[in-house]
Amino acid sequence: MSKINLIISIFIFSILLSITSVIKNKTRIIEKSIYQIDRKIAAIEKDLHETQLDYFYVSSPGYLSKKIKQLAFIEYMPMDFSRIYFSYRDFTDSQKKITILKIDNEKKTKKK
Amino acid sequence: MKRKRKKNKDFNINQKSFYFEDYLETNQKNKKVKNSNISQDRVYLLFFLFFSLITIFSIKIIFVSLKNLEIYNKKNNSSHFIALRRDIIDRNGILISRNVKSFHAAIKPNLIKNKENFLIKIRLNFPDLSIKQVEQKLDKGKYFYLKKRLDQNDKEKLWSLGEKGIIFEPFQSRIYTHANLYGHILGQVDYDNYGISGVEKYFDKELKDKKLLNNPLQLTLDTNIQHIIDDELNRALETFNASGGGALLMDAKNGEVLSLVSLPNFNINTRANIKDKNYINKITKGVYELGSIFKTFTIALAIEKNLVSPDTIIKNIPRKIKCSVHEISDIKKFPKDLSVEDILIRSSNIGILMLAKKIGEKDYKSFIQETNLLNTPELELEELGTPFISGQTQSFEWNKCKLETISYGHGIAVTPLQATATYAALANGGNVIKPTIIKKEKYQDNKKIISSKTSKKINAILRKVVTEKEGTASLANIYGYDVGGKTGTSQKYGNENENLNTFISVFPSQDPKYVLLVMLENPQVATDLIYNYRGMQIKGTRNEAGWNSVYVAGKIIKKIGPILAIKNKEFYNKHVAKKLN
Repeated sequence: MSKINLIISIFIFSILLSITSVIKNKTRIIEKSIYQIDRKIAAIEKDLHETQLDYFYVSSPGYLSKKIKQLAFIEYMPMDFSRIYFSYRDFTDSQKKITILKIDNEKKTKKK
Repeated sequence: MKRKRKKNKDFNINQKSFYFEDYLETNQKNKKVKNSNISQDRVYLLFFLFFSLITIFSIKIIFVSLKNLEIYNKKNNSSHFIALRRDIIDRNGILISRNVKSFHAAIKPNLIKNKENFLIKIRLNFPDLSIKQVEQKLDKGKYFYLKKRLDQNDKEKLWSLGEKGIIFEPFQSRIYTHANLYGHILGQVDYDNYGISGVEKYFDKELKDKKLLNNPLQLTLDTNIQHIIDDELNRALETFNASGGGALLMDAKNGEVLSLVSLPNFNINTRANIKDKNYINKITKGVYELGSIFKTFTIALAIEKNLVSPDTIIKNIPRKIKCSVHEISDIKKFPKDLSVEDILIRSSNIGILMLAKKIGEKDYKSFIQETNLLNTPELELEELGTPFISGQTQSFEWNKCKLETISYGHGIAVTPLQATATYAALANGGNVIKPTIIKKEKYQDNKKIISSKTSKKINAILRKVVTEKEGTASLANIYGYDVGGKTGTSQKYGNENENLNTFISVFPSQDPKYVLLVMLENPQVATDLIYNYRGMQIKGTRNEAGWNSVYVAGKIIKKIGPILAIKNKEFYNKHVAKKLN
């Protein structure tokens, strides 16, 4: 009877021992990977932090207008009120009117 | 026998029956039991040990998984960058200011073996540095800074020198993405990240609040609009050869400042120590006699007090009026009889003076008091000017002729910020507004200075100043934006040879949403400029506000109008959709 008890207890101990070591190792691995991931996150966060700053700098209106001048583009001008179209239909309607007027003008000049 | 009894614990005197057992066998059994008890205790002990170990590791795993943030707190990890100050963003979320990791270059003289060689290298790479000073510091043998706030190039240069004695000392540097654009608003921080001017100083505590580090401080300013106004104003300084200028765009309903430009400005990233007075924030700190801008206040008060209506004819307006030793007159010859609105449209000094006399000193004083024109303005900046009345020690002890001169904007000096805020109040239905540069969820309901009826009448007159033939602000009549406003040409306080030309516009004038102030210091006649004046192309020959400040305001409104219209549905529907229909 006592032998069986001893065997059972040794068996349990060995299982517990192996579980303990597994858990311990797993914990260490997890800790390590958490630390590594954390470091990676920190590096990425720092990159993002500085990249955002760069983005806002290079997309700032002052920087863009400087670049436009350097590249000798025509300066951006405000759109005339009469040239603002709010939909494609508005645009086509006004274009139709313009072409009709042009055709009429051409006919008149031909008659003359 | 006694000994035996003592030894045998199971012996009982009263026992009546006996049985016999093998002593050896019993003794062996007892021994075994005893031995097994000892081994059981050990088993339990071991079991307990293993169990407690497992429990400890399990708890640790749970702790790691659940309390992850606390164990791997960014503070404990040196690779994490934690900013010492919060970001500052504009109303659209565009980044304006941020802390980044930067380096100072310091020298440990005892680690430098060949000093001569080191000095030659420094001279070659950094010709701007004073080599004598570096040499003296090296000789002293104490730790010193060679160069503060290194940029990437400088850091690489120093790195390539391969000197052990060069220490790269990390610190946090405040970077302003728009350099000059917000120079007068943001202010600066020192090397220890303490705000020393502007928003950085005013909100120093809030910007350093560790609980709010991830929430940027949002301003009411709009970077795109700020750039457009800054650009136009810079061009105006060149065109009119002006010594300085300023512009302020404010939401007429809630006092939000969308743009605040003061020229000349400076690059806040360079940390220059500027002592020139011309570099002050002219909008909030500068105190000026704004001239005819004040005439609108006089007319608004006269209408509010039911003394006159816009159509009331003021008869027999004299050419000149003598007040004490002063002689007050108009620049031009105006008809003798003028309606109240004509007085403002033509900007008649004498006409306004006659209206002020009708109002009386007592009512005029209380009106000025209600508008807060003589108090130091309230804005979230450290740089604020205090208004004053010339020749007076106390603001409300007016001597002879003060009412007369103040009625047309002379003898009283206020900040452009206050004048714009008062125009906003007159245009928005009479509600006094508190200018702000910080985005808020709710804005306080303030007291009224005039009724909404009077406000509508004033808006109509201001519109006529721009549209009427006799008006002084025709160049600001930008199609689609319904601009109204009033010009002011005055001599600079303390320097009568210099002009100060101002134009305050409100738009759209039917229900004003925005107030724009444009101010130019000592502008000259732009002889090369060709104006598009009421359909005619004319050359510049004049120097009043109507020919420079108004011209600049018109150009600004033409550019910012579409941006404001896009962002404001009501404005968009009313003034843009109309064009399509």
